Amino acid sequence: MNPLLLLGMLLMAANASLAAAQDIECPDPRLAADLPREIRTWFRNPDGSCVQCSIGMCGVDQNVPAAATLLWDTEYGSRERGGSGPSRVSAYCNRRDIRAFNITGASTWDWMKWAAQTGRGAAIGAGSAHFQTLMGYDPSSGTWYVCNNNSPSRIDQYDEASFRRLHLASGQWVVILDYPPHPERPRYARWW
Amino acid sequence: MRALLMVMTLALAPVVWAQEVAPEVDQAEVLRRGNLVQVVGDGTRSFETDDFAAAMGPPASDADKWFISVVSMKQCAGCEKLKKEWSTNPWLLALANPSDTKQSWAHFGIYDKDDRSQAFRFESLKITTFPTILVQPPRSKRYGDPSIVVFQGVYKGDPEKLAREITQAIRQYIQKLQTPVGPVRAYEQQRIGADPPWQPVPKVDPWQPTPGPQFPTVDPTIPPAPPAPPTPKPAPAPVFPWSSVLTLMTAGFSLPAAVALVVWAVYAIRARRQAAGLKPIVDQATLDRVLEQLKKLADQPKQSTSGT
Repeated sequence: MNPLLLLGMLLMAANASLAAAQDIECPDPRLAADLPREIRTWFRNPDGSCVQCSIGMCGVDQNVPAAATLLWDTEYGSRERGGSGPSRVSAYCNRRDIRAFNITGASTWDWMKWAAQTGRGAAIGAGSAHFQTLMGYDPSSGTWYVCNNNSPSRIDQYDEASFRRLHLASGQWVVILDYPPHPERPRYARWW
Repeated sequence: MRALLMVMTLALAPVVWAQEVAPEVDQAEVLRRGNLVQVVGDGTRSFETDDFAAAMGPPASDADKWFISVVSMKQCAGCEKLKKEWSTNPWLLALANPSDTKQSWAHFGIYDKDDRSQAFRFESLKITTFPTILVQPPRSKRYGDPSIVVFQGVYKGDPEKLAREITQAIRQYIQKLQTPVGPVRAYEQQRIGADPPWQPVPKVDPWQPTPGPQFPTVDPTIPPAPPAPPTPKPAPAPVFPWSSVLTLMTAGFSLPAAVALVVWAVYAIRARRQAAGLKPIVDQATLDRVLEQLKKLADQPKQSTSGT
């Protein structure tokens, strides 16, 4: 087989999980979370702390400093680094007084849709033993928007089937901060 | 005896349960509605009132909650006072309950102006005094674009006044709605330290207030207060035409003198009606036309009756 053709097929297969690759950036009405690229890069995964990176992004999005600063030593608590499971998340959320829904099992799909619908991000299992940040879900096109803390400068897009595989690959576990969502970036309009 | 105790427990249980479940009167909604007469059922209906009343009622879902944001700063006595008031004052709690986000009518958030992780949100606004309170419509878009600033105001120490200003702005906004109307440093992977890449807001502002003016004097309120209605200026009373009267008395009938008397009478009546707040009998344009005709009549030279 022509090596170029083979290379092309391999590239296509590699990108198959990503939906139509059109760049999307905050703010965008299709996205629930609003995190500029510069801020997302603060949460680049330093040392296998993907769960805390994902929760941290949600912390900034919902203006919860105790969650936003999970990765670092601050007055809100010592840094939480390394791998986590639901029990560790419960423990540090309790220690730091972070209100959160720590959800495992079959209802994660509904919770993720609820978070996206109400303008919240979510820290979700995505990929093999990995956590990422759910940035939004567009029900009309069936597109899920996810920010990977290994490549935080971009927002990946998945169709329903590929997102299902992505989420199941890590086990059904989702963390959603129990705080109000962010307001949209306010602007003046002469309505009066 | 045991049976009696059981009966009493069963009899009292619903009462206790009801007290725990919900208040019998939603006083918070009463405060949010303010001075409002809503005609319900059959009859003449004001949709504007209905829409405002619906907006002040319990939101249908989390996405139907309005947004109230407080932009504060450190070492600001007014900011601290507002934060305290918002956890105790019934007028402010009726709008947003910071300690019970589920029962809260609005989503409530406090932002520090110096928090770099949140600065991007308010980049397009002009906020010069603190605390500044912002109100935005719900995310559901039921009340239009959720990014629009429906209210921007400064807290001046009166929680009830602030709450009323907010609900009044929402009411005006809904009424109008019915008629179509610094670079952040990237966090580098190689330099992962124990310190966050921004200075998070302190848990507690260590600043101790000192006596002095707590509240700003500037008032960049949105919507701006409507201009005060013009106060009617008393029309100057026309001067009585004594010279015309003298002319009539001494030289007999004269058309210009008679016209001058008529004009005086017209102006005098008009001034009296205006002073009493009544509408003039004729509008200004008609009066001008009549006076023009009278002037022409007075200026007309006397026609000779003798033939030649």
